[in-house]
Amino acid sequence: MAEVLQVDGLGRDFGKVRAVDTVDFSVSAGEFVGLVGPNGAGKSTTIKLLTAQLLPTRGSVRVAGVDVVEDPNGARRHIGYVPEDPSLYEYLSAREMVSFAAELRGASEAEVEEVLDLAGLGADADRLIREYSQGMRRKTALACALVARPPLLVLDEALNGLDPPSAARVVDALKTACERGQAVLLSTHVLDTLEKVADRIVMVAAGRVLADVPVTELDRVRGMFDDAPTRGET
Amino acid sequence: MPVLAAVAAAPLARPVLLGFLDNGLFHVGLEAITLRLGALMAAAMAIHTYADLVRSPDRAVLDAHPVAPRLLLRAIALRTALQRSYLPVVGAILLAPIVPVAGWLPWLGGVGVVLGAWLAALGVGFAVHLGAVWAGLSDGLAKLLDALRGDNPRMQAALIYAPGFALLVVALSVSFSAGGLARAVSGDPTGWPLMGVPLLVGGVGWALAGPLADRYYVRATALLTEVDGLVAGVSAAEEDRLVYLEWLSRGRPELLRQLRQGWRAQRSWAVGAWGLGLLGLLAAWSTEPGVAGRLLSVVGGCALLYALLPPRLSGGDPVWLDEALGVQVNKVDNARALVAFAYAQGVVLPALAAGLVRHGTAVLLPLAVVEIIAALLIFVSSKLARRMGERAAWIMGPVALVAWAGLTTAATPELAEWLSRGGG
Repeated sequence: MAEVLQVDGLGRDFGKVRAVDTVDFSVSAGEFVGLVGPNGAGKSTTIKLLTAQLLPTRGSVRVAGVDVVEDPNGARRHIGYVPEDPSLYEYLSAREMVSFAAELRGASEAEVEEVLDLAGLGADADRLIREYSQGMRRKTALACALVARPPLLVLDEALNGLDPPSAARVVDALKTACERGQAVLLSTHVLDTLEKVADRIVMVAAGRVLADVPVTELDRVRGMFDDAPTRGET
Repeated sequence: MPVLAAVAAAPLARPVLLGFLDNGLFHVGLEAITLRLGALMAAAMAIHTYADLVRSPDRAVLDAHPVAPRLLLRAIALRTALQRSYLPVVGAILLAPIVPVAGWLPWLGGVGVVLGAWLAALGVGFAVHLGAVWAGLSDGLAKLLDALRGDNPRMQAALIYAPGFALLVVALSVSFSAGGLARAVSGDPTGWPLMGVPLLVGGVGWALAGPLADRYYVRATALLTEVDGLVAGVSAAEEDRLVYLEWLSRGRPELLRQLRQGWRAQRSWAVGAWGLGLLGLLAAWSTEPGVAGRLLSVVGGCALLYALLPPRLSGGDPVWLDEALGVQVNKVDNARALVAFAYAQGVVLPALAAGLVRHGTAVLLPLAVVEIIAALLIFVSSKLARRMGERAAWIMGPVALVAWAGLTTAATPELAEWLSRGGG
């Protein structure tokens, strides 16, 4: 399978603090990868580096062959991104917001309806976003990320704050995306969900990859959580 | 609202802004006032273009998507232009008293200078802020930025100095157009073409802004994340525990809360007061006649700005918190007023010190007048903020403007002399 995301020797320092030490991994088309690690492991910083929200101190990231530092806007065309705390236009409805995202990405109105349905927003799609709960907002951001079927979906703690049916709906949407050939990278510290959907687990701690293993070895990753080094120990 | 305020303030401000209409120095005065109003437009637009392009809330929404930077720049520019279109209108209204004295042509010329400055600042502002992103990311400029940055992160230095650079470029071009206007209305037709210089400069700025947007609009996000991360890392530790004027709060928790709110959320008001204080210092230091009038106009104008601070303080300070803490609302109102008044002392004290050195006790009475009016407006503003929150600024802004116009109207030579004699 073609590699959609290629991360090589990625690192990021903030002054004397090494937020991400050295991260190497890749994600292929149609693959579902869980990026896991304890709080403060460097997951969110890594996600910011992958999505051109932050410049790396060292290393490189390529999305569908596009270097995110050289051409961040070009890389964004290939990424559907759901941040941990999504920013949306509060005065729009979910349908209008997703239509706006579709326009930015050159997708059709038919695709808008499809992703609204996929994200489970169908019945509520015409309510204003400012009336939404955190879970609904996250589903709207997911619908925006799914539209135009970008080759890579990156989700930062996207299951946080979702009730079980909503989380199941989001996971189903991501599985569907994988079946269509899109790659998914889901950052989370909740391992149980990954067991059912992920192909592979990349575990980071103290800004380094401690394990890059098939999901069948999830129990080994669970065991590593207790002994994972903190950043102060690097 | 600003346009209505300008309509109210124009006749009141006439003696100070347009005193040249009565003293025979028409051409010199016209050049000076259009240059100043043009520079004011440039300063305001330099800040607005930064806020709308670099720090706009849109950025957080758009960061998750690819964008067409040039189209986006055009849309942002159009929105900025529409939202700030009141600025040249205010300028035109403040210049309106020229018409009955000198006719339509000088007024139209003056409006042309002000409008040209506004348009130039629109084009130059976007180009300079995008150029600042390039500078912030450039390895070649790292040493220069390190030399300039002080305690700020290197990348922030480029953003900090960008509005000043935009102001400098536009103000230089406005000096040509204001000079050209003075020559033109005095009968020298070569002055008219000079009035087009700001438009030329603005056009060049706008032409550069497109390619710069292609390359640096999206990259600005990474720079901002970097700057914010570094600032948070630096300020989270020692700096945030220290609060400006904390010693004032002994035994008054509600005042301590407002001081913390002011220092952590509205720091530019605290620091900016001392910057404005430099203007007061210059006004007081001059040995030209009329120091009392200058103090009323300059220090008064700057100090009255602080009537806008209580609404800002109330914005991040929810009512439920007062209720939960069982604090009397009057105490909170008074604390907000006291914080705003204390910050305003940064404006007054440099002028007081310089005035005492250069003019002796003659500066005490005009500065006391400023203090009393500022205190009164700040107190009223604090009470309004209790009822209206941040929207109180929409009332207090025009009120402060009219009060300032009143102060400048009062700054006649006779009054200045009377004040200088200590009111006797």
